[in-house]
Amino acid sequence: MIKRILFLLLCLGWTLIYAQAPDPDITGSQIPQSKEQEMLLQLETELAKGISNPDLYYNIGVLHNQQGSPGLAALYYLKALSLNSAHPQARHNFNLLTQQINSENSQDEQLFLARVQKDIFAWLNDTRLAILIAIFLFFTLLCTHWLIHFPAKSEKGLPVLLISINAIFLITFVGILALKTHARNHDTRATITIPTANAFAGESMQGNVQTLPEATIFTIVNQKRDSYHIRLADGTLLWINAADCTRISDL
Amino acid sequence: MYCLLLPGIFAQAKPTLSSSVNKSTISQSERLIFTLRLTTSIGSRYEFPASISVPGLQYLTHHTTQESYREFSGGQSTNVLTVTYSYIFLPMQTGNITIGTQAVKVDGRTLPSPPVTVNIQPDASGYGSGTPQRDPGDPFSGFGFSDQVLQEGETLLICLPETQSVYRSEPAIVSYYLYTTEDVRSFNLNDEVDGEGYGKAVFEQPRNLIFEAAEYQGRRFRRSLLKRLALYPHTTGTLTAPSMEGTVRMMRYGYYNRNLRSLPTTILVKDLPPRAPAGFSGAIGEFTFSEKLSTQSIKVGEALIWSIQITGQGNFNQFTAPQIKSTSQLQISSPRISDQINAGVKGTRILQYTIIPKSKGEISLPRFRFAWLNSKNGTYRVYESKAQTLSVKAGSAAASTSDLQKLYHKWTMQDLIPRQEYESYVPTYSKPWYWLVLALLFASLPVSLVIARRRKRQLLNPHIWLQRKLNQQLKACLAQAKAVIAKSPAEFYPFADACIMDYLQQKHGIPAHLALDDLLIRLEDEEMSPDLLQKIRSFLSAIRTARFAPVEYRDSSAEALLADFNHIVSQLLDEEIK
Repeated sequence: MIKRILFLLLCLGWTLIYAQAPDPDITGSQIPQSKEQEMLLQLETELAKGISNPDLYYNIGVLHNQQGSPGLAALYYLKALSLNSAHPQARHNFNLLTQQINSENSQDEQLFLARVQKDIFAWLNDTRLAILIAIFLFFTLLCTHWLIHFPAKSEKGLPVLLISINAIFLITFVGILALKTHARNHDTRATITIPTANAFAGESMQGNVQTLPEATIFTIVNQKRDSYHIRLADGTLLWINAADCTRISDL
Repeated sequence: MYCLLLPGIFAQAKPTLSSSVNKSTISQSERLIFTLRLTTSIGSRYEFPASISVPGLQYLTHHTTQESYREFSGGQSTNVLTVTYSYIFLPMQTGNITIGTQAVKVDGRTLPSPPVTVNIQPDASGYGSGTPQRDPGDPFSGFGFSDQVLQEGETLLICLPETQSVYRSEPAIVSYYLYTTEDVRSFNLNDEVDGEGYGKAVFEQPRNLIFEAAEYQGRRFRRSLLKRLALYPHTTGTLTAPSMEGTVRMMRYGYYNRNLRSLPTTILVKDLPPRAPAGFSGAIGEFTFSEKLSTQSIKVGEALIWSIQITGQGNFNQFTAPQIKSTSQLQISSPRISDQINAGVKGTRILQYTIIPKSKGEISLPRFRFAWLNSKNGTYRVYESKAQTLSVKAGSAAASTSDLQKLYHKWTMQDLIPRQEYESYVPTYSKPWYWLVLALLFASLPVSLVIARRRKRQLLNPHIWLQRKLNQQLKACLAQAKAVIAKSPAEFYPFADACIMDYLQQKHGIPAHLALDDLLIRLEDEEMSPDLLQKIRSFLSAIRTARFAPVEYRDSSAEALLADFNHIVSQLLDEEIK
């Protein structure tokens, strides 16, 4: 009798233990996450705190790329580059990514001078521009001091020339900085973040269809309801569903 | 001699008349062209029948051509004129119809044409050829004849899919052909009406109509490819291919336009089969693989290129190249992709991995693995590269240059930037120190301006400049005098003496060695007020006396003399202002 009671108690105990154990199939916390996913979650938490850092955006881009989301990766690389246009890793990965995604398009080589101009523009990030502005302001003022104290009856051509040269550089760098700041604050670029998106010639989103692959970068010209009027890199104007893409300004 | 030869040289051509038809056996829907051809000499007068009436044939119209040439035959030259009259008929009944002898008058003579028999067959075409339009060159068009007339010949715009079913995301190729039995000269594409559930890209579009023989529904046609599209379905179900509309321009007995539209064509879009293998990234199609190593024997520090070639037809633009992870012995770059693909569908993709061995020895190359869905049989396939071993020898110092690393880094995605903490990015121009630097730079400008202005004044009016300088010195002396008394009253006397004397000597250019009386005489000459002169005399005498007085007296009189000093300085400054 005692053995039976003990056996029943034992069975009851097992049942209770089994009932309390979490079901591995339905408990979300049991879903295994890769190391990249964990890091991505961690970095996105940082982002949610309101931290805006080029390295942070770059690292999120790298993790998205490793997880097979080139569209999001391109978006985060662009965001990193909008904060620091001379970010070397972001520039490298972004170029490589766009080449891999659009290998046909990337074969269209730009003119040499246009490429050089683009590289210079990218090299001049905010910090470099700010320092160059300070340097050229210093030289402009130095030459102005020289001109002010220049002997009254002497030829003033040299100081005026030097002031003009330095002022031109100063104005150029101030202009570039203003342009970049404006572009960053009014960034209308976006990328396709689904494998393929349909773009339409008309606002009615019917008619001729063009397929845009993931990570295609374009500029939003206008927005109406749930669709964007976009301009592709080659100047083509199309309409696209807002859900198929993500804007840089949304990050 | 010429008179004898001329008639022989320029002989008259004997008039001949022949008759023919374009086809001896003709369909009832076709047109019969009966041609009378007259050959005679230039200058002959001729008269053809205006119209021909044949039972069973409906006369429509006629047109004429003529040509002239010189013919040498048997040593004779003949100027020949050929006149052709083409009579166009519409068969009204089937069976054999004979076009009887027709008479043509040439220079008053009547030439008979041989009769011609034509076999009219019933019309076998069972389908239409688009909406007929009024033929501008046909005088009977729109007057009761057109419907019958335009049924002749067939021209169709047909959409032919390459396959009846595809998988989702697999490109479907559809071709648009112009099928015709008529004399089509050009085709103008007007519109493409798209369906839903797919994207598309132009796969092929010839510039000209290039006809080839083809059969359609058991009938022989000539056909020309108009356009070939690649459709990318993104939903399952039935996909309706774009409908194409265009205008065909053909030659009948004049140019004639007709609008055509392709009939709806559907393609079944299937979902992907379950149980996709690991590494499947969405590639669907029929692919073949080949691989090549630039070398298998290499030194440490050298680089080799591993090329994987993917050839075939599929959704090339919807999958990327697999990454191969570097090992402890090999650095493997991200693939460099070069495509030779038409519309992202058909062609060759070459993936090039740059590999740099890190150590010597026999090193196994990692396997390249690529999974795709074979659209032909609907099964997943996996390509795995064959096992290969690299023979890596010790490298020379020259071989391990940074160029290889540069090459590797050029084609490799950069990894994460190791950072523990992130700070919010603040542009340099938003930092306070930056604006402080700029403010200091700008602040130097007014300072410089003030200095320059003073210098300018000094140069323009040195006397006034000196006066102002002396006044400032005198004021400074007055301010210092109080401090000197506080420190040591005995030092006040020489200090005050020196201040007054320096001022007067510098201002009036009086030598320093003059005695007090001589000094006052010179000052009197300089028109200084007598009152001030008296005060200066009294003050200077007092301080010179006090300098050598006993200490008690010296200390007590210093305060009183400071008041005098103050008064004299004020009066000197006031005098200058006046």
